[in-house]
Amino acid sequence: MKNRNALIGFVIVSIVTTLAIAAPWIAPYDPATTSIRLFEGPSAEHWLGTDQLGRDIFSRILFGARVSLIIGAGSAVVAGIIGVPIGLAAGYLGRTVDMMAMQFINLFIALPGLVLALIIITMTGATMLNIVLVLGFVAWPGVARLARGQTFAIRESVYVEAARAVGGGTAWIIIRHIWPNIFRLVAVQLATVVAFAIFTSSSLSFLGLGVPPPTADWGGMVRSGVDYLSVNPYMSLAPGFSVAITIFGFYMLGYREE
Amino acid sequence: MARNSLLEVENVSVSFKSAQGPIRAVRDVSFRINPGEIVALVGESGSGKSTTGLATMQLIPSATVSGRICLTRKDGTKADLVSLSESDIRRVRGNEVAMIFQEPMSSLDPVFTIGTQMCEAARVHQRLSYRQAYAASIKALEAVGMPDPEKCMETYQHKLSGGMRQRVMIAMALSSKPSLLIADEPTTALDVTIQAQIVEYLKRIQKQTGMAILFITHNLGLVAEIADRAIVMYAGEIVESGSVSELFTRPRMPYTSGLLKSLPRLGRKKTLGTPIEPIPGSLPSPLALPSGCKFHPRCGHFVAGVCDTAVPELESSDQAHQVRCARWRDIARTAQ
Amino acid sequence: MLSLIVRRLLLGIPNIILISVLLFFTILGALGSPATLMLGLDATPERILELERQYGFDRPLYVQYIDWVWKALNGDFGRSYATNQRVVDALLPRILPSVELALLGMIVAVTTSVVFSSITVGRRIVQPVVNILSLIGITVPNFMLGITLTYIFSVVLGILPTSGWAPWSAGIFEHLLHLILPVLTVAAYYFASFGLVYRAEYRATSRRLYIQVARAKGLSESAVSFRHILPNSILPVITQVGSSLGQLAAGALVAETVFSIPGVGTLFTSALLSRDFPVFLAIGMITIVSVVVMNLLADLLYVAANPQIRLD
Repeated sequence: MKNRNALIGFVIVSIVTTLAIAAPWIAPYDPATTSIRLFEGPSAEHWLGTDQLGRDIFSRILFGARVSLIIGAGSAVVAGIIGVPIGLAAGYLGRTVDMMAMQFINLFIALPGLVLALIIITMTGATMLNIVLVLGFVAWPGVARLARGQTFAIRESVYVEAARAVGGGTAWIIIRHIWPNIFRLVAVQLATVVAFAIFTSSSLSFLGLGVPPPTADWGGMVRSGVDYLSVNPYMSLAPGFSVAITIFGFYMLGYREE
Repeated sequence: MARNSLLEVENVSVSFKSAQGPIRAVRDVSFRINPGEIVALVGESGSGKSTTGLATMQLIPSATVSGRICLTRKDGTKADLVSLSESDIRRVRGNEVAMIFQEPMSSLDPVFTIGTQMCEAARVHQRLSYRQAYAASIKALEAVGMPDPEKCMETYQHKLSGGMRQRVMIAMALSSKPSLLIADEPTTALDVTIQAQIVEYLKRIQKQTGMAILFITHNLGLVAEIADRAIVMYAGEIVESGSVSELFTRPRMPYTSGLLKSLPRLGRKKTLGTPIEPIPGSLPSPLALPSGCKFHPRCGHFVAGVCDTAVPELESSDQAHQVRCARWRDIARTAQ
Repeated sequence: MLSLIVRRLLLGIPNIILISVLLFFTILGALGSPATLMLGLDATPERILELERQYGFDRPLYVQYIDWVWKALNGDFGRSYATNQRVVDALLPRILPSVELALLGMIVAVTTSVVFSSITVGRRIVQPVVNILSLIGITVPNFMLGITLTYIFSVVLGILPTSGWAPWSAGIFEHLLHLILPVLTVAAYYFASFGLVYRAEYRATSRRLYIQVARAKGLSESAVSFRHILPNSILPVITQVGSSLGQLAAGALVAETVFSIPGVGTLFTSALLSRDFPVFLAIGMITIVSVVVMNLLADLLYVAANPQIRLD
């Protein structure tokens, strides 16, 4: 069951990634080029029709994949950079460090990430870099909690005891013995961070507060199509479906059944 | 044997599905229990004794049960529990056949008071008002020697010790006056002193109510204390059965003798010299049962070509004493 | 149990203060001057200084914080920069629709999830379908779900209103009719995430011995599952409700925009878009602090509902 989930996730993620990388070569049109053929339905020339400025929706979706994946991957890296050391430290050192870290982690996990992200991004300006930093910052507690729990379990194991017995320093034990053992699970957790980041960044764009136009961005495309649902539903539904399937892919990749 | 038996188990087999093929946890088991009789079902864990008990209650939804389990009901009619419909078997469970389990610590629902659960048991089968159910529950708790039953009714399970919880379980099982109580290792998880108390109560209640008890245990010491008759199971089969005095003095099956030898006998001067001898080896995996007699790999009387070829029949060695061993006659002769 | 509640409160209140301090200091101190934000980058330094003095942004942060909290506790959140309206007056009429939406979404999600899961768990054919539906519920963003529902029920089928809000005065039927799609949009994620946790818990509980005992008493399957498995499985899930309240707030925010509901969420987004600092500061602080408070309450509810803890 677990492997089948991961396999489905892997296939979806691979397809989306390939399309994103190959976008300049496979996209039939430039994503920003406008034309006078507005609100057209799907046709042989425009597979998913055109939007309110006559741009090709299919091409914009392909380029939009790049934006989503960059934000997703970037946020996961940021979340990992903040979360993993904190989790390792809390799990390995225990006691006061652990108590304080957990206090913080639990507090952060309960916060409404979208609300927090909206405020910070409005204050700092909606650039890709800011969005990546903010979403990574919002997502780190989940990573830290997992790293902490795993470290906790491994710390008591025989080989760590042995490493300590031969006089290994804390940093050496963490890097040589603990990190390699928790790496896989952290990577899996990071896949769900990617899912969360794409989910949240597309919501930001949908609210008009994400990556600014004219960048082709899935959430923004959905937003601009809302008013034309009865004219050309593909304007919203096609990018919306792309977001959903991408998030689904990453989520499945990182899904762990209890 | 003219007496009408309460429960007749005939050729019952229980099998589970598994990735490696069906597991036949219980094979071709037949026995009967008379009204008011205490029968012990003895064996190591994994011998199929608990499965037999649960199968009687039809409480293993994941298993296939074949054979007949015939119960004489309170109204005198007979019913085959194996073929009974789900709604009919529910009228038997808790009402005519009640069951208590090995782990009193986890037998009670943690979110309800003892009283709620007692009343629930009392009300399922009899159309009692809450007040009547409450009174009946108090009475049942008194019968099992619960101090301050009113207070007990208001508490939650985590406030009670293991022994107290098992008393509650017994009281709950008795509330519908069942004709048969299946007690699945009811004292195993308890301290020795508490064990003795619970056994005392079970015996006393059996005398008062006249119900029959199927006492499932791995502890031969308890068998001697409580049961009239014992059935020994090994690897899913009955290997020996008979009256307790008969089995303890003249065990025919090497496995039974092995169990008796592995028993610490306190207070018996005669055995002080003979050390405890555990049976070597362990129970075979149900997926890889040995050929012939299932006990032969562990048996001290094993003879190649005799024990590992045909499965021996369960035959009568005496009146009301059955044994499944190809060499029981030889063994009995050399022992004399 | 009273001492336990007091202890939790003593731990919780510093948390609430801590989060409000962190938030306030980050927003006002670390993220750039609110005056620059409100005026735009091409504003003259004099104009910025003037605005900072007007709003008191030139005072030390801790003074601003104490001043803000003190006034907020007295119901004064300042005035909107865009409309000069008092923030409270802009906020008050919008609270009811938001709370109604979030609350209904939560109730619908939790009840359907519990009932649905209790019925379907362990059924060979139904259960995988429910699991897949749950995964979809978790992964489809609220805005996509809202738009898809609008497209199906309003544009194609034409049986439900596309968007907007009918106040109670428009009649209860009209009111609820407008609420169906938004509530479904908010509930979907919750239904799914709650269901996943609940079903795992349900499966664990149904393997417990006391459930076997309940069957041995002669209870019917439905009595076993609703009287014994359900109450035992739902307790641990209460904390789950608490820790995903943030998600609920975010979902309601998006749903309000999709369906143009005049709630706190739409006020928040428009304040962010027009860089109306006093308004979004107030809403942000209120939302985040109330999520933390609700979280604490859910924790206390768990303590209060659990006999094992309650009686010790």
